[in-house]
Amino acid sequence: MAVLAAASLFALTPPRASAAEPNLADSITCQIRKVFDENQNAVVRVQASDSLGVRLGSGFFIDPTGMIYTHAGVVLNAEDVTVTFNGNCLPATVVTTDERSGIAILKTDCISPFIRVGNSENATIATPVIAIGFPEERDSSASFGMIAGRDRQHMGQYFSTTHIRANMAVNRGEGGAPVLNLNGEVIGILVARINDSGSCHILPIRAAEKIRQDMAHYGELRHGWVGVEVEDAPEPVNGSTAKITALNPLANAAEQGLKSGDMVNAIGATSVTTSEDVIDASYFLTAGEAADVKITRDGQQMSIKVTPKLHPLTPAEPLHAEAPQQP
Amino acid sequence: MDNEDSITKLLRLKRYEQPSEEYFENFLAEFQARQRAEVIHRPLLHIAWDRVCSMFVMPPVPKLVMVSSFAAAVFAAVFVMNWADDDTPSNLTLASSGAVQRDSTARPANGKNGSAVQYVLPARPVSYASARSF
Repeated sequence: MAVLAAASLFALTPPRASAAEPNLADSITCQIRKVFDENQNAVVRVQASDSLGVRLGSGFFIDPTGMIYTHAGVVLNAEDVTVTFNGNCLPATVVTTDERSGIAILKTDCISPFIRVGNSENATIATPVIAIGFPEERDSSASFGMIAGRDRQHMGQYFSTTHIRANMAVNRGEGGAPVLNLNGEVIGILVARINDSGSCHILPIRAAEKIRQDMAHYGELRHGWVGVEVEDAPEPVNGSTAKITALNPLANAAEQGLKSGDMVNAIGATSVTTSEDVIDASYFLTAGEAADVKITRDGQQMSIKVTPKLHPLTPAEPLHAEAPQQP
Repeated sequence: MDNEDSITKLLRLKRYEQPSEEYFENFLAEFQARQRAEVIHRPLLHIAWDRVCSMFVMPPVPKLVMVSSFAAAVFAAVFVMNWADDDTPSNLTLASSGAVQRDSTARPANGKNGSAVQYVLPARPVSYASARSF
């Protein structure tokens, strides 16, 4: 009996960590250092100059051919753009500056280290993240934080697509810095700090990749536009309150079969339950590529294939800054 | 001579002439009461004028203290102005037309060659999706 009691007591006692086994804090620290060490070489300082002065920001290589993501504000209308990494200073060409997402793509002639692309949709609340950037005139440094949520608007203004909000202290000069998960994959691009609250907004990497795909497939930005405005109806129909209230005559939504009063259930692969859901769906439409719009009209569900036009606010010509000639 | 004698006698007499003890006891109280009465009966405008004049009378403060106080005030004003700049959002804002604009409130630094340097990280994301449309 005593043997049985002793055995059960031993079984119920939680195992103690051995002295050699690292604790949780050490594991996290090691992982953060590992992510920083493996990726800091792929982070660049972007310097752009024009007649008004010099702008400094951060960026990172996204592939081994020298393609770089950075903040649109760094290179907007710049005359000369250079990137510095690992002690090298190289000229860069602005491939495109997208005002809608707030990012720019640069190209340098080099074989570069690069950061792997992760899945920004998996980055849920309380996911730890690391930003690597160049704060002001300092060397590259890491900031550690945690995802606090996802925002569709800030101070009453809607974003072009849902942004990730993270509790992470960042500084000026880190605009365009990569935000990585603990696997060392980039899940977003740092686009704004929220005043001095210690929080920041991050453009999901999926939204940035849409820009890169447009440039790769078409050689230009192809934001799609159907020309439909929606508002929330008082009662949901088939699970959606998004009701079409107006069709812009400059677009071709009416010709393609959409009507005012239709309830929108899905746009392409994005399901719609409220009027705000169309913001994300709209961002991922591509001009010239047909997409199915699922609607409910007079109680009947139907699918209408629409081909979006080029969004009216898409720049007609990419804003280019030629790379300065190397001496 | 007669006059001198009479004055000498008068002074001798006055030496022994003293007011009563009550006079000395009430002297101070009466003096203050008279002062108060003068002030009370002065016109209001005169009193106000006196106060205004007294405001402009500089206290005997050493010049060094005055200069350091002025410098501290200027420093505080500059600090507050910079702080206000910090709170104003963004190097970049988006106009209603959707165009990214340079923000004049961005705090520039000076580069090595003397040109203005801006470190980019605005306080508001770039966005122009003002309406729910697609």
